[in-house]
Amino acid sequence: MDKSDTELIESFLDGDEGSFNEIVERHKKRIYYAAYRMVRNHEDALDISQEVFIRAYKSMGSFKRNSRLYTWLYRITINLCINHIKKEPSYERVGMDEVVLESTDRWSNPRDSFESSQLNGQINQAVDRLPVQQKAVFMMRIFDDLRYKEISHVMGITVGAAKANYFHAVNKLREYLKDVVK
Amino acid sequence: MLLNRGCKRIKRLLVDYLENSLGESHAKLKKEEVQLVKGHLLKCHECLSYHDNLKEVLEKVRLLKDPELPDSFWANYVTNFRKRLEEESTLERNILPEYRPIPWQLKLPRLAGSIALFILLIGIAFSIYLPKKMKYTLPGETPDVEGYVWVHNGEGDLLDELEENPEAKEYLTMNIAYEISSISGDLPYENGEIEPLLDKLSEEEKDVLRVNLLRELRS
Repeated sequence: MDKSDTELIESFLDGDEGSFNEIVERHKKRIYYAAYRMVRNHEDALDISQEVFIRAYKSMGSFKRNSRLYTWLYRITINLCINHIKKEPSYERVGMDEVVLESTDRWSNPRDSFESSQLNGQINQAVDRLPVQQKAVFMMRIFDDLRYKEISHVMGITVGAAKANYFHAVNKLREYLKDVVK
Repeated sequence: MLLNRGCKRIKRLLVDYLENSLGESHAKLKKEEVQLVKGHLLKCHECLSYHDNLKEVLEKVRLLKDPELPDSFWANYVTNFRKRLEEESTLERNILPEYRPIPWQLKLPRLAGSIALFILLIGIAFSIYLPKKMKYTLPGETPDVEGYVWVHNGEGDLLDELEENPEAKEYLTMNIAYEISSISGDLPYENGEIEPLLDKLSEEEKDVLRVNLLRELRS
């Protein structure tokens, strides 16, 4: 039977290095994609996600067991992403093409496919225009299905602020995309 | 465009309403609020159009897919992580041997200097944060709000000051309403106004609200 996160943490703190590998294995995709959605650049997302695990490795002793490991890792991820975005506000959001094996092209008609990717691009641009805190809250809610309470833990804000950020993000997206989505 | 109070309230409820209708598992709207929105949408074309547009946007955003990466990328992920961890550890080990303990004769002046600098910084910090008139920046794109803080001076003052700043007021109203609903579990909005909601809170709940808002305003 698979060990729980808490058991893996205990084993790791008792000196079992393999347990940390298991933790990385278990959370790598969610953490990578959380970073990718924020910075939308493969190299940066990879760099940030690995930095998340390095920081977790070094400070696992300070992890408070009353919260979920994933929430803690997510918090490190979002902080690193926010710092990254603030440091490089005009970062280049490319780089996935070289590593993508299978595109998300599910349309047989090339015209549909083009229009769909154009729409996706416009949606992504609109999301990128959101203030960084609103963007982070929106991403967590929409793509990770986190509850407001979890979002408030991750962001270090109140539940009310998490809801308010989500509300403003959704309404801004409607405004940005009102002529695109019909 | 000026919205009437009913439309304003409905638009605030629409985000939660749409989460309900899109099958979200943790939307918090109550039955009477759902009925209220449904009834309003039947008779208000503007709100209906707003609702349809919002729904369309959320549906499209949810269709966005994360790009798929090759299996080899994921297979090598842990190995690459270990490699990077080892590189960083090696770097730290190489830097550490260069460290030499500072002789105690040199430590004392440095210690004194550090204490003096610390006291100076504390003084500067107090001179910035203690003046009666405090300045806060609301998160997001809302403009700065100057004035006595609502949480220190009673419920009315900041709201009065915010009368000339609708965007900031909207943000704060939203925040207060959500805070109230998370503390008391009450309806998040009542006629789009905060005061009736505040009246429902006990003094203890108001204290919780003040602490939460103070923390939020300072963030």
